[in-house]
Order: sequence, then structure tokens, then C-alpha cells
Amino acid sequence: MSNPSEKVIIVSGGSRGLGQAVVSDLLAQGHSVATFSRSSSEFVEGLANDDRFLWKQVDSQDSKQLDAFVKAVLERFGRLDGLVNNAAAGYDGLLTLMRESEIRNLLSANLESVILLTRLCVKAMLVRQGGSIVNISSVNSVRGNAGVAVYSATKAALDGLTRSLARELGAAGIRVNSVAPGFFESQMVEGLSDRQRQQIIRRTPLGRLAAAEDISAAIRFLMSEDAPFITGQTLVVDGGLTC
Amino acid sequence: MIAIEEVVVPVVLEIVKRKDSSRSDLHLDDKLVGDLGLRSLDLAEIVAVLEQKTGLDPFAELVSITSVRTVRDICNAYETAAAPDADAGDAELEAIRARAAERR
Repeated sequence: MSNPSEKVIIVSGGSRGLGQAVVSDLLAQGHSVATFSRSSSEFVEGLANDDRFLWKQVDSQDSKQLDAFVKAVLERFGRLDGLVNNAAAGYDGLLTLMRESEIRNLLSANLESVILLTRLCVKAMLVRQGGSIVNISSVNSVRGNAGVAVYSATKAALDGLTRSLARELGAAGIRVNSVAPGFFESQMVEGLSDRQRQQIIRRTPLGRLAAAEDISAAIRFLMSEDAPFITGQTLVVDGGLTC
Repeated sequence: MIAIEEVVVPVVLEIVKRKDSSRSDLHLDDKLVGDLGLRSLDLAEIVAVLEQKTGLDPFAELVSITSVRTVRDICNAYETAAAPDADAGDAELEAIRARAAERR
């Protein structure tokens, strides 16, 4: 890795959806990217022979698997410069109608796993005295929406994690930010009716749902040398929906 | 076998020198905060570097980070983690620590 602007970045949950877009974008910038997911996909299988890419099957709710993954990344690439906490569970429902197991699963997948993975990655960044972390939050962390109370709680918690970690790690040259996407074309909005989609579009000043690439561009920016003095912030990427 | 001190002291000294370039050595009984001017983030860096060098993180479960005051305390923590019976029960851990204290 001769070019110092080329980084080694972990993207959790990069086999499909937004994670896939983020992995593609970072690879296109010349970075090395390591990602994991519970199951493989055509996308990660297609990159299997790329020297700058690593995928492992990992259950993010198993801390031992997370530990082994980060060790494998350090062994393969020798360093770690960035982390994109993208992996998340997203099922919804009114709080009173949700099963306790669903609530616990959301808390575990969207919050506990993120904290544990971040802890592992920060250690590697401390050794190099630098790095950038982007937590994928949600507009649901800044605006209330019925049916996503637990999901919203986990994403708002990530924003709190972002701000406090930014203060903790700033002196070590490690930046921590959140990106809060609005509704974008993904599996998560497949369940919306046409009427719901049109309603969101009507309320969005820029007049459309986001594409995954709109979100990955914001992540690329926060990861890059173009954002050296930005930390502890939540960048809302929603076409103006919440403004 | 390399003594734990030979691994720990150079790592601590390197970080201390980064903060105070006039410093050329340190003593095992130096207080991390009072004598060496280290902050908690510096201690976190020391632990991260030592984990890369030794594969051990005694502060993950075995030893409370708040009990660490001096360079010697760091050495003792890694000695505890490196002991073959490091995953023993609390009573055994206390015995290991007592033996380490006797050696001092």
C-alpha cells in the first residue's frame, strides 16, 4: 500500500443493500475493504479474487467471531484506518405488539454488536494514532415515527455513542461521525405501499427517495482527508425530509 | 523467557517520550498520572499496543483498569494474564497476585 491516502476499512454487513454500495464505493476509491455478514451473496463472491477485498461469514452478535474477524483483517492488511458500522436489523412493529425476543435482538444487533466491534477496531486505530469511524444511524434517530420505536432507540443511541467517542478519541486523531440516511431504495422500504412511498416523496424537498449511492457518498466524504476537522457530528442525508 | 517488564517498559517509555521529549527513562514505581503525566487515553494506547505485542488484554476481564496506578501495576497485570492459570477463580487469582507481590 504505497499511497498513504489508500486506507484499510472495515464495513460491517457489506454483502448487500447499503453495505454493498459502501463497499463498492470505497473499493473504487482505491481503499482495501474488509466486510462480513451472516451469509454470502453474489456481490461478495464476485470480489473473492480481489486482493483488496476480504469477506468472512460472521454473526455480529457473537463477540468471539467479531474478535476473530478483526484479527483476520489485521493479519491480511496489517493495519486498520476506518470502520463503517453499517450492519443492522430492521424489522418494525408497534412496541406493545413486539415479542420480547425481537426487542432484545434489535438491541443486540443494532447496538451491542456495534459497540463491541467498535471497541475492537479502536484498539487497532489507537496503535496507529488515527482513524475514522462512521456509524450508520437513521432519520428515525432525529424524528419520531410510529412502528419503529426500538429501531429508533438503537439509532439514537448510536448518535450518542458517536458524540461521546468523538470526545474520547479526538486526542488520538480518531474521528467519529454518524450518517443518518432517510428513506432510500433498499429492502427496508420494500414493505412500504405505493401510497406511503408517494407520501414520503411529497414531504421530501428534493422530491425522491435516496439511492444507496447518495448515502455512500456521504460516508466516503467523512472517511476521507476532505473531512479532517469533522468529528462528533450526525450528517442527515434525507433530501431535506427532516429540515 | 523475556520478563514482562522488558516488553511493558519500552512501550510506556515511548508514549511518555512523545509527551515529554526530555524524558529518557522511567522507574517501575513511577505513577502513571502523577509522575509520567499520562491520561486515560494514553493508557488505552499502551494497552492496545501491548495487546498487539503479547496477544493479551488483562483488562478485558481479569484486572480492573482502575487498580493500575504505576508502571509496576501494568507489569503485574500482564504477568497475571500470562500465567497459565490466568482463567482460574478469584481465590487463585489473588494467590497469583500475592506470589507476584512476594517476588517484589
